[in-house]
Amino acid sequence: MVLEAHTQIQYCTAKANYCEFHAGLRHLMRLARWAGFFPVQGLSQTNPDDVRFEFRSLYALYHAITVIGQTVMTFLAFYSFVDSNVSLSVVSNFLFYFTNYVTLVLLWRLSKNWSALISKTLEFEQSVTEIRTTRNLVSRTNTLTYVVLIFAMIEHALSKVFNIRSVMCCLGETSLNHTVINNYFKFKWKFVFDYFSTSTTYSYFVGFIAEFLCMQATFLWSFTDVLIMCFSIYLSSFFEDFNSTVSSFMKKASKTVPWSTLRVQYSQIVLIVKQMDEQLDYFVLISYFTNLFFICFQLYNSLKATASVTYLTYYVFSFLFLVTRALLLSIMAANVHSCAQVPQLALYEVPTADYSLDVQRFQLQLRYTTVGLSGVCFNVTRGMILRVIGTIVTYELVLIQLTKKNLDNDTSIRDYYLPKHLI
Amino acid sequence: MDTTKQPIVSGLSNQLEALNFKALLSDNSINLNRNRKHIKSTTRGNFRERILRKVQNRISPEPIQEDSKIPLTCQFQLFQTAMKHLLISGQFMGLNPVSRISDHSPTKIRFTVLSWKFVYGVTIGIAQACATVLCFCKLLKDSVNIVALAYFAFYLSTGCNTFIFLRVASKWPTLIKHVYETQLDSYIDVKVKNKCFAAYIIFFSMSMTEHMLSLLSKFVITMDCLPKGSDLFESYIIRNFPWLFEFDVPYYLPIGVILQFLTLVSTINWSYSDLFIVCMSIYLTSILKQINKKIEMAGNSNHLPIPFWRTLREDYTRATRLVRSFDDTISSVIFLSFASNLFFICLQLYNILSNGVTSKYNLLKEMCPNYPSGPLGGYEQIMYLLFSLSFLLGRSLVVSLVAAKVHSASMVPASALYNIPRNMYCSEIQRFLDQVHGDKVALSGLRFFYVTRSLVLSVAGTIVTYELVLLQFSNED
Repeated sequence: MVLEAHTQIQYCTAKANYCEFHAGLRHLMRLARWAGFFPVQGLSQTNPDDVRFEFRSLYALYHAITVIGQTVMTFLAFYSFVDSNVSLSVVSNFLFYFTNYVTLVLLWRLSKNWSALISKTLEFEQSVTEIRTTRNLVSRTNTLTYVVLIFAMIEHALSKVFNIRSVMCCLGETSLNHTVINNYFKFKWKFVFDYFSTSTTYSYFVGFIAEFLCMQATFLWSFTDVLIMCFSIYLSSFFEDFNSTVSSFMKKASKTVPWSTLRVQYSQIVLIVKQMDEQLDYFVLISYFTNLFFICFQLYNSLKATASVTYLTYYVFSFLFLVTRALLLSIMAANVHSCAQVPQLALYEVPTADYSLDVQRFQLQLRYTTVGLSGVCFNVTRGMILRVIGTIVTYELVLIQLTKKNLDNDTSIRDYYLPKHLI
Repeated sequence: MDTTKQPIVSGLSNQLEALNFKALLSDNSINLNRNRKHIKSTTRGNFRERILRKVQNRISPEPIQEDSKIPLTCQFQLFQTAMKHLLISGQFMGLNPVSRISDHSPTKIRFTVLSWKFVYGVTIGIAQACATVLCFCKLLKDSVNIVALAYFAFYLSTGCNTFIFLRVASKWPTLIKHVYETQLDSYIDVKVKNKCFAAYIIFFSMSMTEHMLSLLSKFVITMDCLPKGSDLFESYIIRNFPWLFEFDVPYYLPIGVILQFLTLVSTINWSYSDLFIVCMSIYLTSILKQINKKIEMAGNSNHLPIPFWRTLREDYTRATRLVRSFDDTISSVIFLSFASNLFFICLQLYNILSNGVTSKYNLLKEMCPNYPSGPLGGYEQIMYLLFSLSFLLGRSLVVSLVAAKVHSASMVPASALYNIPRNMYCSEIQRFLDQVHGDKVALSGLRFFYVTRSLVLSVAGTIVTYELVLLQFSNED
């Protein structure tokens, strides 16, 4: 009897402590932890109170090694940027590692604040349970995570295949042997090998480490976008639930709509949006900056392209993946803002008899506050997406024009076969 | 007063409110849309009933109502009579395949996948998609030049247009139902019918003229350079559809006819979406303008009771809700129309400004054996180019300005409301003013941009910027 009661209490506490946010982002953050970027314990536990940032654990050690490795790569990229002639491929290489490093620092900051964020989210979820109707949040975030990251890994694999085949073609080799691999490493990681002495065995070791660090960097590149997308899905689901509650109340004309309670619920959602935005704003900024730069860069590279089938498949796939990811991210993040505006329309249809002070307050609140994700200095809305697209087109036209002269004079066969931006 | 009791009292009332809220939510009569799928369409019924109904209709058809005999008393009738020509001619091109689209009873208007109109529309869409892919392959094969890019963009935008109109067709019955149920029957403007018909005639005639001029100029070029003893139509088709025939597709007469038909449909499709947007905007603006007129007349009278203002505000809300409902249906059409107009204007302007109106091709033509053989003595190409560009510019301008009128008409009540004298000012008027100022009522392009007058200016600025940058290329060549 006592045992039954005990399990009942455990069950109740477990249910009371169920945090949808923690469950929804579990898979994503676990992947980040395995990649060495997110040393937070307790992600797999159902009880979100166990989440904590541990200094003395294996994951923290792995994270420390990753940080050291990425620091070295970034420093080497910076050195090669400063040392050699400035060309677009060198700049892109440097920017890739530099933005990657900045994201690493941001993730470290996020992991420190993660348990506080989880507890705030738990508190928030417990205060809006009445309006919660979405059931498939966890499956949506998991699907999105796995789909995008699998495509990212496919793209990475395709780029490796393409690079190795180009080296083979360049050297006239037909199969994968030591010369091919040696040359591939020496060419691909030129900025690394310039500063190490080269003997055959040593270059393999350094080469494979460089490959691993590069894979981590590629993972982080897509990871930022997926993180923002998952947060956006989570936040907009609450707004959608709120909107459906309001519209179902409005359809029942006989009962008065409890506007004061609804306004309080809305304010709770707005508060959690702000709290999450505090953690996410630099991520959004970095993500937009890298997407903008790399889309312009990929478009520019299309002018240098040969029409060979392998290059075309890789290029088209890579470019489409980049554009789709950026577009998906923008639309999901802008969705938070759009969903938050919908209650305004319902308020216009409140009949005069119910037009109380609460309705007026709610109307003022909706009109004069901007709700949504921001990127430090801008708000992510649909209008902003259009401006970004316009910016990309303008920069593209200017880029093409400025380097048109260089295009004709470019005789380097290596650039012809292996555009350096490829990871 | 005992101040220690107050927080307890307010705390209790908060808890009571929370309990009340929970009780309201758990009321089964409030369906929180937990399961949207159980909502059935009431017009369809099961298969057997539908067949029975069809048979009954055929045996004893309902009396046909003639348009001119019914006085237009409701918004739905006005909408149907005004848009009849537009919608039916669109269906000839496979656009908006809703069955019985001009019917006077809203329950008969249905979108079914198994209708021949839908199949026809999808076929045309697939043909345009194939043309797009082939043009893209040709673009990759040759270097990027203006003609190939223009063909690719043309078939891409018309293909997207066809598929977007399929989506519009799926939302059309809901839209029509909303028009039927909107209680705005006192705001009918009969002139909408004439305006829509005039717009329809103008757009179609200009579009047909453009197509005729294009055919003429292409035939003349073919005739000029025709080697002796070969078929005119065959060499015309092979010369003008390089994206198909350069991939070693053999020429047969039916293929030629199909290709000509595809070109005709695509050309009209290109300007159809602009006409569609113009007609919808005219309809929506008319409702808003009628409301504005009523407000203005009310402002001139001496005393009006508060319920009058309440009804007026509610009518305004219903009108804005109608605008929003239209916007949900047609915003993708607006987006594609603006995007393709922007692209083609930039392309055409660049073509004319960098190559001049008399292009190098014209110079080559003079070396052809039969030059000049056309009725306009060698000027057909120039005429077509100029007409096409001015039609494109005119069309984009007209669409932007007419669609922007919806937004301008929604802002007008504010000035009339501010003129109301002090003794008539009440909370209803204040609420009305708040709504007019705070609500953005406009047609949008997938909510990325709102079609207002300032958009026209920013689009023009964008075009000029891109032209200036593009022209610098040609100067270096």
